Amino acid sequence: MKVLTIALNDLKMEFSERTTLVFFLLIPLAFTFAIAQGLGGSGGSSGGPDLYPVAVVDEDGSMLAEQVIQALQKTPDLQAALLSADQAAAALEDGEALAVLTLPAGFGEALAKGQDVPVRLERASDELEARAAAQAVENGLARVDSAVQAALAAVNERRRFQDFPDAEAEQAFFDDRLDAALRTLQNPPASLRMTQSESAAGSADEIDAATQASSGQLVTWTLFTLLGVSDMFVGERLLGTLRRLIASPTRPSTVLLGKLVGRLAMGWTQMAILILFGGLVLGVNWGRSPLALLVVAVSFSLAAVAFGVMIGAFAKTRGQAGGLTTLCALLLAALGGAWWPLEITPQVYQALVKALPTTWAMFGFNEVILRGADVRAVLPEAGMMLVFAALFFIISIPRLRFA
Amino acid sequence: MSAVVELSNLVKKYGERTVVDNVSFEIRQGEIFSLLGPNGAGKTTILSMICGVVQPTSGEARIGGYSIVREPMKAKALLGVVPQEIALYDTLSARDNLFFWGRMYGMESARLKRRVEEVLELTGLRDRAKERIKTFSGGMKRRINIAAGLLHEPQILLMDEPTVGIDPQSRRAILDSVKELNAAGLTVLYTTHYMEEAQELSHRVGILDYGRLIALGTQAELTRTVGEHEALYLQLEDGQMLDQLAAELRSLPGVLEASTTDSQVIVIVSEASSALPPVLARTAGLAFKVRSVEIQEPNLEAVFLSLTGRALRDEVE
Amino acid sequence: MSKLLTIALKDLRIAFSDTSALILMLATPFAISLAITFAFGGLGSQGGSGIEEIPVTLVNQDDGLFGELLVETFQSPELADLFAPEMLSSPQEARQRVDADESAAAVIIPAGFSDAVFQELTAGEASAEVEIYANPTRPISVSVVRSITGSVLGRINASYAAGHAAVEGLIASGLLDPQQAGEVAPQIGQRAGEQVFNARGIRVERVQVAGQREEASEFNWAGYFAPSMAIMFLMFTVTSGARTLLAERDNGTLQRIFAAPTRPWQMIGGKVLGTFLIGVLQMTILALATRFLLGVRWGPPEAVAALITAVVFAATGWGVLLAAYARSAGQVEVAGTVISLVFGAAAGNFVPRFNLPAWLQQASYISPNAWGLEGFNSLASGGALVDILPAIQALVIMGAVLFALSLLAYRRQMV
Repeated sequence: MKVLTIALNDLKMEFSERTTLVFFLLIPLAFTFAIAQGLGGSGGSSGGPDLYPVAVVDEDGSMLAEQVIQALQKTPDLQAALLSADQAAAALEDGEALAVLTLPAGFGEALAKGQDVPVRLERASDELEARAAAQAVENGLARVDSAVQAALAAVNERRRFQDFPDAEAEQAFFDDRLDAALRTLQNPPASLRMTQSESAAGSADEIDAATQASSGQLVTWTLFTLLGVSDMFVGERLLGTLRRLIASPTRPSTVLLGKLVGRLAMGWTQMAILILFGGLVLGVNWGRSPLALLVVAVSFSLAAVAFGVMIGAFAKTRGQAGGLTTLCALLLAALGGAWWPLEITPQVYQALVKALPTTWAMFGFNEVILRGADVRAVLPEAGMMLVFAALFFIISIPRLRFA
Repeated sequence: MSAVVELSNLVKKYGERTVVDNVSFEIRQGEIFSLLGPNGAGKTTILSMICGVVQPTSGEARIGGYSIVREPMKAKALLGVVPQEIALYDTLSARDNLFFWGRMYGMESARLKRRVEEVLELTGLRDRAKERIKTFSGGMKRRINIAAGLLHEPQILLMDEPTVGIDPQSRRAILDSVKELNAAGLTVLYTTHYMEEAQELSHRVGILDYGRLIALGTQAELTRTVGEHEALYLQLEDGQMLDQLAAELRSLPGVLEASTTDSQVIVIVSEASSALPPVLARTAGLAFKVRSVEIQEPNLEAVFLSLTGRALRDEVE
Repeated sequence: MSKLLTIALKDLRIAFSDTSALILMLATPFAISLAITFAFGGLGSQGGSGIEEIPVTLVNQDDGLFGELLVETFQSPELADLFAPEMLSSPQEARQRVDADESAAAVIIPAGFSDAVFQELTAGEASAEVEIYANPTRPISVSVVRSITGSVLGRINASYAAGHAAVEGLIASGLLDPQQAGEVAPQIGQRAGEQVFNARGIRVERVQVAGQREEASEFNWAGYFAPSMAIMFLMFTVTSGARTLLAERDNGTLQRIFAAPTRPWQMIGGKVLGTFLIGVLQMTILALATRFLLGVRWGPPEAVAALITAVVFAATGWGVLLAAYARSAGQVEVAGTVISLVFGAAAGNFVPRFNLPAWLQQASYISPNAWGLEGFNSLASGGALVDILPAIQALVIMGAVLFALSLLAYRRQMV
């Protein structure tokens, strides 16, 4: 079949250059690996620290400060060490402590009086770990704070009934009530329970960041490959081989189809490799339905290759084709939610980017991966991408010049 | 002799610009037909229309009786194409290229294998078959270019300026191959702006100028259009400014046409012996130094000159 | 000297006359910065996470105080930008909303929630539990809902603890009769609870190690990505400059330049100067454009200018090195793109730097991207020239070393 001959010929040409493998395989694999590594550190099934190391500097020494330290040490997420100011500063710089809490002199006294007391919480960096550690410290502090306030309120109520005989009695009462409050807050009455929509992983905590990033990486790299069909068109047009193809008894539709098949084969192979690599080596969870994944991947590839043909129809030189390919691949990937999640963007933005095929690809992949969706659930997304493909083809095919 | 290619009133316009203006001719079986003309005359466009790459604005081209517009697949199957640019995949080997193009012409495996070996042998590139086209010299690339056009044993071979920019040896080899192939029965349409090639190869010549066919026939017929005239070829010393000279000479009695190129002056005269003295005199009178003089039967160059008032080579690099 | 300038200016002219190169050089990074700024909080703002109008579905089956409290929190004017709450009466309907991806989470308050909390006061058996039914495709929104809910529950628990502590304390001190407690306790509990509900003693001052107070605790995406994209595309540009050097060799203009009495260092110097000027121009235009059109703050002008110069210097060094060792224009093209992408990804141009593994962050210091990115981040969060001197130093050394290596290669190779 001529279509296959043309497709195979294209593949032969692409891979006769050793550099193709670099773009096709090495770089995507390397990136996927590196990013999974980096994000995997934020917890989840791919591991991560069980305890966040933090340091506490006690410039106060009061009993309340002691309570704070104990509370932090009891916090399951934290490994709290008591250090001097200098030691703490050094630990922060060395990265041995993710956060440092400094309790200033007069902390206990002011707090016990019901005053507003500032404390300094220093975070090592913007990294996810450091943020999480700092948050855990704040939660611990909040518990102690609540207990103190509760004890203060108890003292007030007590006073309504009867004044304290002396300051010591008041202090004793306060301490006792503080203990009680702390105990109460260990097992507080009101709590929340997380449940989740049908999800591939099964529990809200199990989806790790590497899995979330995996679909974005897939989209980004295969986009480069598929849009690259434009260079093939422009290159062959300038080389004269496209013209020669038309001069032979080969229909233009056959030529187009042949090139599409070749390019799609490349794209699918790349996706398969990335998916397998992610799944087998990095432990990425690709959802419950391989068929749904396939449907999303294939419809995405069609939309992408159609976009590539569009670039090929409009570009006049290989430089233009290459530049536009890079530009569009990066923009489409970024805007469509492959690099950062759409949910943190404004509503207007979210509405506007629905005009991009990559946005729908990310929707589809997320459904499969995060919700464990089956084929039926992703049909709308797949359908949209096919519409895009059709649209791009309609725009570009009449404009394709073979000579 | 039957016509293998028939062009009838072929026109190609790009917007307001007419590039091919009502061209009609036919190419007969077994002949080598040259389409001669300066750059920009429309040779490549005509070729493109014949092989169906460009759609004519009006008119028709038939190959072996099939209309290129209405029955393109059948028509194209009869054609072999050797384009002006090296339209080959230079990152693939010669053999890979040949196999690919053979398949594009619908050749099945056994025949294709045989033909690939045959054309490699024919073009003398058998021992370089496995190497990438990228590594070939200009001449070798042109030879493979031709090989690709011959694979499917076409009835007619269209060759578009196949010897541009290559070494004399390769050019000689190509010209000889064309003659051999033709002797074996291949019809050839050969476009060129080199008069010597047209002269050497062709049975019939069509001269194209600004999209119009201004002369058509055998070489003998064409030179006869110049009449009983003769041509004087004056070789002048290098480096002189010759612009006015042509005009001056044209004003002499007995001079029909005159044109200059580089350091050569071509003068068409009704009778050489009587025209020569005044021509020399005027030339010398204008302080030009003449190195040599030749009196010749007019050639295609002269034909072109007499028809258009311009030298074929004026238009050429 | 003037030959140097002539060559440099010629390259500048050529670069700016090639539209497709111009597009790549200027429009692409700007377009991406625009997109990012738009994505993260709109034009004119300082950036920060743009998460807004999280669709949250509320079901309150409780008829007491606390359920009402939770609902009111989500509906409060203070959180009006953050949430787009919807009240429903059926938990099933609420969960369906989440399943259909129309809501980020359903907060379901069970019947008798408030009572269950109060029951703790006396009995101590049933626990009052709020269910959050999460949408797995919106993890960040879910965590925000969870965090808000958690903090309200924290307040509720604090009040409860206060009431409990007060009543228990009174009983223990013998001031309250356990039998009496039943009537009076709720009142006491409520008063104590109210006192505590909004009380806070400990106030946390968050500080990041660089010493700067952060305005938003969220990551400033726009401020990060504008310089990030600018640097990445700078690398594309300088490698393209390298390509023209080889293209000139390929098509013979290089030889022609040498045929004229031009020394190698003039030629190389001219090319380098040209590429350098193009790079500086490009980054400056991007910095100004994103600053004035998108409101992205880069930092104090003189520091930004110094850093731009240093980054371009180092980047140009890479371009020249590439040109020195590559064999053909095609090779440079590919190698240049590869290097740009690898440096870009490793240094954190695509994914914020702090998310990358530590070893990768270290390794990326071989690129101008890493130093530049850290420098610009520092400036954008309030740093001054003095804070980025180490980065500038490193970049200058990088550039110098690369140029030296290139000269060695050229000596051997000069056409």
